[in-house]
Amino acid sequence: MSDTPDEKTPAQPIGDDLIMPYADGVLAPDQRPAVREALARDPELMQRFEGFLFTRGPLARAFDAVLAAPIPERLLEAVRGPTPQRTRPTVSLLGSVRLARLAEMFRVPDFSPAVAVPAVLVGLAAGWLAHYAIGIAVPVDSRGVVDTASLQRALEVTPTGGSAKIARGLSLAPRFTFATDQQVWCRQYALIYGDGLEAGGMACRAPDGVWQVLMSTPPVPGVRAQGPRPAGEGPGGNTPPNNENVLDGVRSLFKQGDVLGREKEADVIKDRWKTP
Amino acid sequence: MTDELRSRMVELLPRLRRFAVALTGDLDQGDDLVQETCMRALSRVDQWQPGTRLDSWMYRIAQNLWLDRMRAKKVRGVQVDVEAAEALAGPNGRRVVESRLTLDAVGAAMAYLPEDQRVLISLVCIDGLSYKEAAEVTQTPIGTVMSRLARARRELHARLEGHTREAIPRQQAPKPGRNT
Repeated sequence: MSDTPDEKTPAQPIGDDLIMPYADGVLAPDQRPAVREALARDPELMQRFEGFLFTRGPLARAFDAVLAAPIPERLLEAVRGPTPQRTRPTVSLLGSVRLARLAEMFRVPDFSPAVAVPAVLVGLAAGWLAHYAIGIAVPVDSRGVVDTASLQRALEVTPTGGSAKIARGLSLAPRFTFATDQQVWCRQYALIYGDGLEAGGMACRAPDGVWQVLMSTPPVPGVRAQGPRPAGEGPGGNTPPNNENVLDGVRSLFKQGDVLGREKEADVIKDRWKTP
Repeated sequence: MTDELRSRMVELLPRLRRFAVALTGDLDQGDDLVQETCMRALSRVDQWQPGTRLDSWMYRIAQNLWLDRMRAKKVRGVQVDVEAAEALAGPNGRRVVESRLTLDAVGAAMAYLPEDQRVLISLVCIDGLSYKEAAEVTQTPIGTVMSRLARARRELHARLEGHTREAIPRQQAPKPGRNT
């Protein structure tokens, strides 16, 4: 018998060097038939094959919980530095004048009759900013199940029209991407729960590359039958929920120019959110 | 540059954490390793070449730190986490066979593997790197990677499925060491 498994002969020995890549789906196509035949006729080889499958599927899934778990603050601080250094830029992301206008907007009932102010989970007072603008350790959905690393990645790379799973039974779907006159990128998004509820939020990207959640709304039953909209498209004929009305109003206040279309947004994501 | 790198490191943290937990078999120790890895990486950021894979570089740092830690343990005479290894056994010494593997069970089974095999399991089976990528992280020839990996996977399967052998009695856990 040959000691070189690469040789194609009928007597080619079938060992782990072929069975393992076969189980992992990376064996060269021309070598697969020989492995298939050997597995069919040799129970011991089949057992090895099953072992390789086992250590690629169930074994890896045992670590899913680690992957989805919130990242401890000490690890985030090890990378980003102490928290106080990153709380300050948030307030300047949108500009104090605009923030004042926004705070005023939420105090004035005629902003929109459809807007149920109590439905807004998070206020926009200075105290809120001081607490939530940290945007790192604080869970960003009202159920407290989102770890910020997943959210950061979802906001960083997910195009409008797509969605990204950020926790078990919870996905983030960007709705709009836009720039402010403060030269800051912001994204309005929906948090879609597996049980049919939908929340919303708005986050802006600080100069250090961290997405900071500026606003979030509580989960309400999803009213939209259609999926996420493509970049640049509005909500269509459906009436958006009140929470989304609030977010739309906030977006209108801060947005400079149009929301990004699909191609432009793809370029911005590809360029890693260079300054608008 | 540094801000961008930090941002990418944050994105990498969940995977790095999973890798570290797989190596150490313990969440707290895994987080310690991740923290040390990040601090080491940031202190040597000039050694990372833009355009190369950040994850491979970070994994290599984590792997080296962990191997150093394991060597130090051996010097102090700590050989294996027997308590963790015994978690595999049920009340009657029967091996736990579950339809859904728990993290504890996998960690306990991996504690029996030599360090180099544990690294490869973590890189390939858990993180999904290719054999070639794992060879680059561990700076080991790909043939060696494949043979060690196959051995490790067979051992893990035997322990976790419990349907082949009872190679090692409960009180005689093996001493992890570099395998060739």
